[in-house]
Amino acid sequence: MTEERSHEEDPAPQEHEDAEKPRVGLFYCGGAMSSVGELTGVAAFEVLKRLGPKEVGMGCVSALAAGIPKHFRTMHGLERVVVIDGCPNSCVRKIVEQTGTRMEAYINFGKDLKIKKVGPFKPLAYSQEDLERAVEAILNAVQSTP
Amino acid sequence: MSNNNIPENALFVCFGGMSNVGTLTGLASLEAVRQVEPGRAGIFCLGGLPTEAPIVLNKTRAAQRIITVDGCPLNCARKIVEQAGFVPYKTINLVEDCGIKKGPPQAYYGDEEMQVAVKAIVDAIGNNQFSPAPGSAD
Repeated sequence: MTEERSHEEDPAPQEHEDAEKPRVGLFYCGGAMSSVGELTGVAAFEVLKRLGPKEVGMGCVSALAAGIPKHFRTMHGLERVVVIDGCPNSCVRKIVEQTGTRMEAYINFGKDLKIKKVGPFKPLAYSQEDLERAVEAILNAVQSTP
Repeated sequence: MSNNNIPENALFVCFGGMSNVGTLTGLASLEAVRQVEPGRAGIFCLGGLPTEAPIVLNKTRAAQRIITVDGCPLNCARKIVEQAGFVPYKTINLVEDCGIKKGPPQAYYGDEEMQVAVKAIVDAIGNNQFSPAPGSAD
């Protein structure tokens, strides 16, 4: 599993990549060295479950950081981009800024929602109340008028 | 667990949401870490590498081995780890190595795909029992 692989673009794009794009893209941290990082992903997927794939879609932050052109094009085709960080490191915001991409709304669970960061390496150490507050904040950011 | 409570194996996981396999990397890695002995592996913050977050860089340097887990053939996690100057000990790609079909996020996956992905990650973690360097105090 260590052989060299290098693909600027996905060598085998799938049919779904030409499918209708969601209105809003959620670009979340998903880091798991702390509870709030993991919570960004869990809460974002809960929002997808509630609003459906026509309204929201998940983004690949790693693809932005890795400089994958297709993902920049996808991001720029969205009506609204919501960026979600868990902790004060604000990595997703920095990646978006460093790559010159865009965001219409930004949420940091620590700074904005005062959700406690628990770690290191305790990705599931968030409460149900934390999850509900996180989901509510993302729903508000998705549904706000641009 | 190695020195300073750093897991022996640092997992850098895509957990992107634009495809089913990206999502599966995150969920399968959580399950794999749960299945192995405490301290053998931890999921690190992939976003902390390109942004040079000191805590992430320091903990990554302190880990004994790095394993990347990518979902699709773009291999973003592996690229980010390498661009940060680290060398993965093992790289796993769920499409290329596990034969899992890439689909849209809402396609999800079945129990079988989850089990295949978890096994690949557990195997990567499990076959590299750490040997202290010669002269090490440990």
